[in-house]
Amino acid sequence: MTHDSGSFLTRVNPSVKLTAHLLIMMFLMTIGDPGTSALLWLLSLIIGVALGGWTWQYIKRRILPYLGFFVLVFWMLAAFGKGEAVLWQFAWFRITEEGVYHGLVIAFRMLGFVTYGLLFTSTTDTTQLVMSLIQQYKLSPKWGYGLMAGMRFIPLFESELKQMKAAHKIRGFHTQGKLKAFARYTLPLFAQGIRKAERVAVAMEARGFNGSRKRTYYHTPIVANLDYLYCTFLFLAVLVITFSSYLFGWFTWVWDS
Amino acid sequence: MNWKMREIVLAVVLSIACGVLYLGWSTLWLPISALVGPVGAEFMFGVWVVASPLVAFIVRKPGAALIAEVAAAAVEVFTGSHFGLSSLLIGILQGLGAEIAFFMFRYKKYSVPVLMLSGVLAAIGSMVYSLLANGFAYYTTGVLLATFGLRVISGAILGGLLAKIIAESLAKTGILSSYEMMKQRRHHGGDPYDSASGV
Repeated sequence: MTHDSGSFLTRVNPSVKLTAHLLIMMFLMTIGDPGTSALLWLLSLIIGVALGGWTWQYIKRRILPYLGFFVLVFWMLAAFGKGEAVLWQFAWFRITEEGVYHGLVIAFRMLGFVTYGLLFTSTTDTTQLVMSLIQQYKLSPKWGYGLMAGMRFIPLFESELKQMKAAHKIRGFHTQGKLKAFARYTLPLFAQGIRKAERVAVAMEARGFNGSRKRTYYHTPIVANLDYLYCTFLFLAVLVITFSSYLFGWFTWVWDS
Repeated sequence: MNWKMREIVLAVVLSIACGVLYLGWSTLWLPISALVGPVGAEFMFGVWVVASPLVAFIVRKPGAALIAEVAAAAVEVFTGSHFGLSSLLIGILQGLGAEIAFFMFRYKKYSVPVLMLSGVLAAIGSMVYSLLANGFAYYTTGVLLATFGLRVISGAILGGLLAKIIAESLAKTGILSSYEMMKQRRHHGGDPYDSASGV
């Protein structure tokens, strides 16, 4: 699912990138003010443009639609959050100052999650990710290759779902509700999956795959200087942002807000 | 704790099938939540934790519940979704919750109450994520309790009970005969297809 194979971020080790981004997301969870959260979100956008090869077209298509999501999250907390200082009351909605403040924190945090997540998925090849998990995180090859075999099933399952819908339609079968239709497609999907899984496992073993660590690899991702460079830059940038927001008097931990 | 290759591939493929269903379920969830509000739509939550009890019930090995939910969440990473990394974090917490249920019974009991308990604990795991990441602590106590209650009930029914129903229906087709669930049944004798469940 790589977006631009030439960008700096596509060359960063997938395990390193995954760990670094998850750490930033966990750090975002500890921040309780909208200013810092917004700045950390902006950082992910800047990294995307500078190191991830994101173009304006890409941002317009993949990130701007999430501003609607931003509004939804904000509205949920603003209208249903707890607080004393009521700004506006209408029917069962009770908008408070605290609700608006918390709404902004969480909405920027969600945007941050979306862009740091996209920063990872748009610049990581999934096969490389699994190979790197085998090398860097010592994932057993049994599970690694099992996972890669499973990955191939995703498009298959998606097209099978479509096919089943079409097959029902052409035979003039109409379900009463969407929920019932959903149940009708589930079992054939699972049954097909189990049959295919069995065949894949047999095929792997028939070709001598025994899942031991003593084997050769076509790709062996390593952790190189580039990875240290990216992590240093990322964590330093987060530190600078956090410290400046502290100087502005914005910074609040989530447990203090 | 020695997994056979066929069990690994089965666990991964079933979890990934669940992951693909989760994506479809999300598109169903959106219009419903727009209609009745996110709290009202919580009744749909359980389907998102079905992978853990389903895979654990069939494979019956330590770690199966955790691996299943993480692998199902990984579908969002593999398809390059925006929610890839967030769903990975949720998957880990839900999977851990579901795993605890089977651990509590030393991986020996796979009855309906245990499966439902795993759905409930998975729901609690997801609540932990919602509190930490989605700011659920900022909601009024009433909204929070309603969300939590609906999620737990839905986790037990649409997660645990549904997993049992799916597994029994699959067992009837005979494709599960070489897996632990059916092996144990043959070992204990009696009707291997559990016609009492009447699905």
